[in-house]
Amino acid sequence: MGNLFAKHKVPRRAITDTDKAVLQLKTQRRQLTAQKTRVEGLIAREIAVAKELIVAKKHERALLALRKKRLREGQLELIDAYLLNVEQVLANIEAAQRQNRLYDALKQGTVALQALQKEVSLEDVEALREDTAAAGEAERHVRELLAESLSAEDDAAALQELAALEDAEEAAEAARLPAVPARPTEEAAPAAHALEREAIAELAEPAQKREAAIAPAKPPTQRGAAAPAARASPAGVGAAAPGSSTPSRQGEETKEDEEDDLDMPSVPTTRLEPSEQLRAAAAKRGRALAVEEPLAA
Amino acid sequence: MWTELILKYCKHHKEFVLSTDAAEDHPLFVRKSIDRRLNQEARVHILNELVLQGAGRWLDAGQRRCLVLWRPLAGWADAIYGWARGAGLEDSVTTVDELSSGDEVAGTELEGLPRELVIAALQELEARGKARLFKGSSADDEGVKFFA
Repeated sequence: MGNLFAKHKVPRRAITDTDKAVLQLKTQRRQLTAQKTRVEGLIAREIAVAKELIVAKKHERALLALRKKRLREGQLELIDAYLLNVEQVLANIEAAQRQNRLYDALKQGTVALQALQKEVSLEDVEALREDTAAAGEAERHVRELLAESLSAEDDAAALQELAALEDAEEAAEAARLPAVPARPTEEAAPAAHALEREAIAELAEPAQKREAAIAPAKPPTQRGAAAPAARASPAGVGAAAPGSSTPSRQGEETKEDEEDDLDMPSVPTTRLEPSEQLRAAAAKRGRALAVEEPLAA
Repeated sequence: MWTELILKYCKHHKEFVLSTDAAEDHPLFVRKSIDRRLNQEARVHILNELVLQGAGRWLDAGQRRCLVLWRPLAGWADAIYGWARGAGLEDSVTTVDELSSGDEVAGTELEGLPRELVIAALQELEARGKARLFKGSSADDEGVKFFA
C-alpha cells in the first residue's frame, strides 16, 4: 500500500497542464472582473459627464457622452458573457477532475477487494467447512458418550435425591402451615380478637339458658301455631347476614334484642340446636375477621 | 516595550504593514497632542528590533516597509491551509489573489491579507510539502496548488 501511495505521490505533487490551464482561466476571470469594475466606473462617469453637459446646454457633447456610455454597456455585456463562459469551463474542469479522482478511488477499492478475496480461496473455505463439520460431529459423539455414562450410573441416584428433596419440601410445607382446626370458631379467631370471643361467650350463656327454655316450647312450635311463621321465615334468614339486627317475628319477643339476632335462625331450621347455630354464626364472623387479618396469629 | 506595543496595536487594528517613511503620520509613531513624532531612523531601529525577534519582516532592501507578524507565519500558513481544506481545494488550483480578496474568502480571517504575507505563508506551506506556488505563462497570476 505504501508503495502504491508513493508511486502516486510524485505525479500528484507536480503541476500538470490542467493546473496551468485552470490558473490561466482564473487569471482571466480576475482580469475580467477587474475590467468589469473599470467599465462600470466609466459608465458612471459618462453619465455624470452627460448630466453636466446637459446643464451646460452642450447637447451634442452630451449625446456623445451617452453614446460612449452605450458603447461601454455593450462592453460590459460582453464581459459578463465571457465571465460566465470562463466560470462554466472552470466548473467543467472541476467536475471532470472530481470524476477522475472518484474513478481512481473506485478502481483502487476494487483492486483492494480483489486482493482480499484472493487471500481466501474457495478451496480453503470448503476445507474449513469440512473441518468444522468434522469437529462438530466429534463433539456430538463425545457428548453422547458422556450422556450415556451419566444415565447409566447417576440417573437412579438423581431420581432418588429428587424424591427425597420433594418429601422434605412437603414436610416443611406441612410444618409451616397451621394445623387445620377441628372447630374453626375458636382456632380461626386469633388471640387478637379476644373481645370477639368474650362476646361469643356472653351470647353463648343466654343461649344455653334459652335452650332449656325453648326445649319445652319447641314441640308446639314445630307442629302447630308457629308453623306458618316458620314457613315464612327461611327467606328472611337467608337474606339476613349473621349478626344483623333483623328482629325476630317468631313469637319470641320476650327475649332481649341481642338474643333475637342469634336465635332468629334457630327457629326455622328446627333441626339445628340453638347453640350450634350460634357457633356457626360465630365461626362465620371469625372467618370474616380471619380474612381481614390473615394468619395474624 | 516598543515591539510589544506595535504587535498589540497591529493585532487590534488588523494592520500588517508599517512604513518607516517619516512623512506618514501613523498613530503609532506620532503623538499629536504633544506634537512629537519619531523620525525615520528611530522607526527603522524599532522595526529592526521586531525583525530580530522574528515578529517582523522587511519587505524591501531599503527598509521602508515592514511586515508585522503579530501572528506567527506558521499560524497564517495553518489558517490558509485550513481554509483550503475546508473549501475542498486539495489538489486544485487557486490564484494567490483569490486567497486574500476572492469571493470564497470573504468573511474569513484571510480576507484582506496583504499579498506579501500570503506569499510568505504559502512559502511556509511549500516547505512543509502542503502547497506549491507556480506560475503559468508570464501574463498569468501566481497560482498555488494545495496538496492533501
